[in-house]
Amino acid sequence: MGALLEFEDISIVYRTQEGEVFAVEGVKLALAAGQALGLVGESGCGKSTLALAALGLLPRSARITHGAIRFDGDLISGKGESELRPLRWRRMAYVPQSALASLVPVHSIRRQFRDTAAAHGMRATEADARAVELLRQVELDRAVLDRFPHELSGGMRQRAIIALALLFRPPMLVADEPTTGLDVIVQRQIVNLLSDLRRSEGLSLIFISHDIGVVAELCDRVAVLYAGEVMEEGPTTEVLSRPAHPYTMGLAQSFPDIRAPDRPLVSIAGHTPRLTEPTRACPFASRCPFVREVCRTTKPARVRVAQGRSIACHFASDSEAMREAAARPGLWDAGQAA
Amino acid sequence: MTDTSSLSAPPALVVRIAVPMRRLARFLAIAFETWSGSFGITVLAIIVLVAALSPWIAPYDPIANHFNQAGQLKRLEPPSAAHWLGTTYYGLDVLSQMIDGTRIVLVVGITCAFFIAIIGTNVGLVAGYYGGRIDAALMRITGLAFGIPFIPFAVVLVALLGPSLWNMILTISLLMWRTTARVIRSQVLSVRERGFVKAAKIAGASDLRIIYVHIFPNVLPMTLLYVAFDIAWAVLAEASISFLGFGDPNQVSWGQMLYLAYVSGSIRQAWWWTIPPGLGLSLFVIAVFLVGRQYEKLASPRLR
Amino acid sequence: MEFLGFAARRTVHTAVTLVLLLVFMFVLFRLIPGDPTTLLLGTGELTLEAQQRLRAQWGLDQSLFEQLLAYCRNLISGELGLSFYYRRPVTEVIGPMLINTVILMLPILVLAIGLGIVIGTWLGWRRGERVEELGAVLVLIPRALPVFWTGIVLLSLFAYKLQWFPIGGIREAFFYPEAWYQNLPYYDVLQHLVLPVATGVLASMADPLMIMRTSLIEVRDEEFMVLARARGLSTRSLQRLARRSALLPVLTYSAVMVGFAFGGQVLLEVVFTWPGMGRLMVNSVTQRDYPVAQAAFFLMASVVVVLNLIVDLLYGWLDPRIRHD
Repeated sequence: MGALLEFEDISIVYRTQEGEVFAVEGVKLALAAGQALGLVGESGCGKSTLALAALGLLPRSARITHGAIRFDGDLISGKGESELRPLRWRRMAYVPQSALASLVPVHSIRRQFRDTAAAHGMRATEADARAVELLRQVELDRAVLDRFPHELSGGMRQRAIIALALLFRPPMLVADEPTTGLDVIVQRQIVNLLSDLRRSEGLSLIFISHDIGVVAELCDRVAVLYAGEVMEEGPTTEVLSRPAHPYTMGLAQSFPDIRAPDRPLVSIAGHTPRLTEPTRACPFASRCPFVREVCRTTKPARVRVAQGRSIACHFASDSEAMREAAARPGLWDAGQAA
Repeated sequence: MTDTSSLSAPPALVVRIAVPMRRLARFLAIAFETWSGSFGITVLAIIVLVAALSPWIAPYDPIANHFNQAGQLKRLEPPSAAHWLGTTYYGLDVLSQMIDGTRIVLVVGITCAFFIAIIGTNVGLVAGYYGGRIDAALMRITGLAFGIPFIPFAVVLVALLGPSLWNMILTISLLMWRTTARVIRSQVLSVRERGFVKAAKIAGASDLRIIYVHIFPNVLPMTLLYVAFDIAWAVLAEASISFLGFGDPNQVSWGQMLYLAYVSGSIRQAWWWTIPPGLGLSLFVIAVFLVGRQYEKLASPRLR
Repeated sequence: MEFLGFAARRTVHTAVTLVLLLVFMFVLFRLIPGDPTTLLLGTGELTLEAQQRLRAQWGLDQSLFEQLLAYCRNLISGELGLSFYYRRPVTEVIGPMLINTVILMLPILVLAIGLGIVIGTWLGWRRGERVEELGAVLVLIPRALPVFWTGIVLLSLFAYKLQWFPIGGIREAFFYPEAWYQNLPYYDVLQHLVLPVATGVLASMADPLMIMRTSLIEVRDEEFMVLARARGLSTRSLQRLARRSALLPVLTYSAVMVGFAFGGQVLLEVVFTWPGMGRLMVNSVTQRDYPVAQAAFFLMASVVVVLNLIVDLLYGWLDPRIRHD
């Protein structure tokens, strides 16, 4: 289908001191060229793991136990470092959450550009020229080149790291919570910047965030993750305004809506499951207000609910009714009936 | 802590013994988790056993001279049926000396480690908790201890006090607490910022109580870890001091065996005299390291 | 600016420590029973009154405090006193020995730290692989061997049995070069250096190695390493990047290491009959030659204390947070 990036039923497990953690289970997602896909969910839902996996950056303690990841049709989940290197930064770039922690603290910004360029055979002079051009594009002064990361403000750092990511005009950018921790004004700047870049460069974007508002603005499609599995996926406006999965319904209600400022916010009772064992049940079963017996015993398959939309729920056909019920905040406060 | 009083069946006394025994067993089991750990603890167990049974398993009196048929001293005899590890320049049986030497290893090791733990931990606790002038003063003393090169100082002290076992233990303990003190202090610095400590302070607990009831249990794993390594360092220190000729002449120590071997010019040919004591020391220290490594993971989980 | 304040405070602190050390040591030495004259008395060389005269001459009949003051006065003018045993100025006695000690100590430290860094990086990079587990255990073995025993073993094997190297000392009394390579400058000394240096390196290498290894393991998991990998940097560049950050703890430990090295130095000098300061110190204690023992001891201790100061200053310069101490 010409997807740029495809997760084919992928499962990822981490080896830790306390045992194995099943961070991602059977995820099927695709990013088409020129598209922006948002990955949302609570902490620990597996979105960062997916991002790292897509870039071939999983730590040594992680293993892909099932499935595959394809980039531009090419299988990358089994590739070694030397095979991945030609792809790195040229075809897929990474914008991490904390620029301060991710940039080399003792190198100037110029040095970071030059080193990256040199790793791919670009000469220092050309790298400098490109750097100036890119900094201008992200609205940073060329003086930034000679600064060190800790000498820049958070927003400037984040923009610098985005400029760095664009060094080779990669077709795909993976951004992991690039606006988290920044103040709203800077957040706005970054979001605008990414929007503009998408338009001007035709960038494909995987955007990870737990902030639904930002995702709503930036992304064409969104995938809602919970406990390492995809709960719902579809066009952003559809999913957020008319959610079809109970979890998405709860999520959407937990963010303030400027159109209804007096609506009380919802918090979903309970907590995310520990991922130390693979389950055969629906991961949301312990917190879902609509739970039934079958939810606790069988994992729901992904079913289509509309054109380009799917959810993982046994009761997909009842989504209309559930949505109405979900709109009543009392439903969420009650938690689950014994 | 499990509340065993709410369980129904076992009588209280049985539970009081069984639960700690099970915990001890589980604690010891950690050493056996790897090949290296198992090797280490086996070696240590053997040494302890030999030391305990030494009067009975040594074939001869370690300080008795041996003479042959013609009444001559059996000097530097290579290993034979009568003397499995041969004899020394002075006609003493090497094997018996090796067996007897295990006692010093344990006595010095454990006693020194005990004193080092007490001094070092308390200095670290007090310095880390009170901070300010007390900390500065204690750290200055610790700095002094670090500045003094160990062996030269030990030599001087033993010359001053006389070469007895107790003086040796005193000397070693007097300087070696410095590392433990520093490490415990830095641990205390981070523990004292924790919530439960502040809570105890607000609740009005006395300083002493906070230090020993709240903070100390949290630095205890680190203390125990260093105690283990200190046993090894103390044993090596005693061996070094004895090798330089300042050991207790009334005790048989492996370091002293090497001193006598060297000083009598016997290292040239008497491998049966020079290899066993050094090998014994090395195995002991390696064993302590290996076992210590197993428990290191308890004291600082990050190392996984 | 605040660095200067920090540096000043630390320097004063060190000076005080040195003074305390001096006094402490002075008293300690004076407490050792017997003085140099009793040794001479025992050999029948001195009558009782001759002894009194000697003691007066050497200032041994004054009070401890007076002796200390006199010593300090002399110290400031660079006068370290007269060796009781050699009947020569202490500086003359210690001087050449000091040089010999440095000749032995320096190669050991340089090699131990250098090898430690290289092997530590190699091991740290391979964390999790079998070879790393094995390596970590293997490295601890030379560390556990008593350094004097390793020396004895190497001596009996390579010097006595195989006769590849001389059995001790720093040079032969009479050295006649035979093969062509033996004409190279300092060949004799170098030949004598091999075994003691090998012994010393084996014992000292493990600490910097393990520190480098642990440091590298930690650095590797830092976020900037993840991005560096994402940027497509080659393995060599990644290693270089990691190593640079991981190096700091090793370098700071190196200074502390010198302190520990003095202890090992004494043992090495005794085993290999190396005419250095360590051996001199031990002998002078036995001989009750306090000026020499004292000077040697104080010299060693000062080196350690000053090196610690340098390390503290380095730390303060590199990590601004420490400057408030």
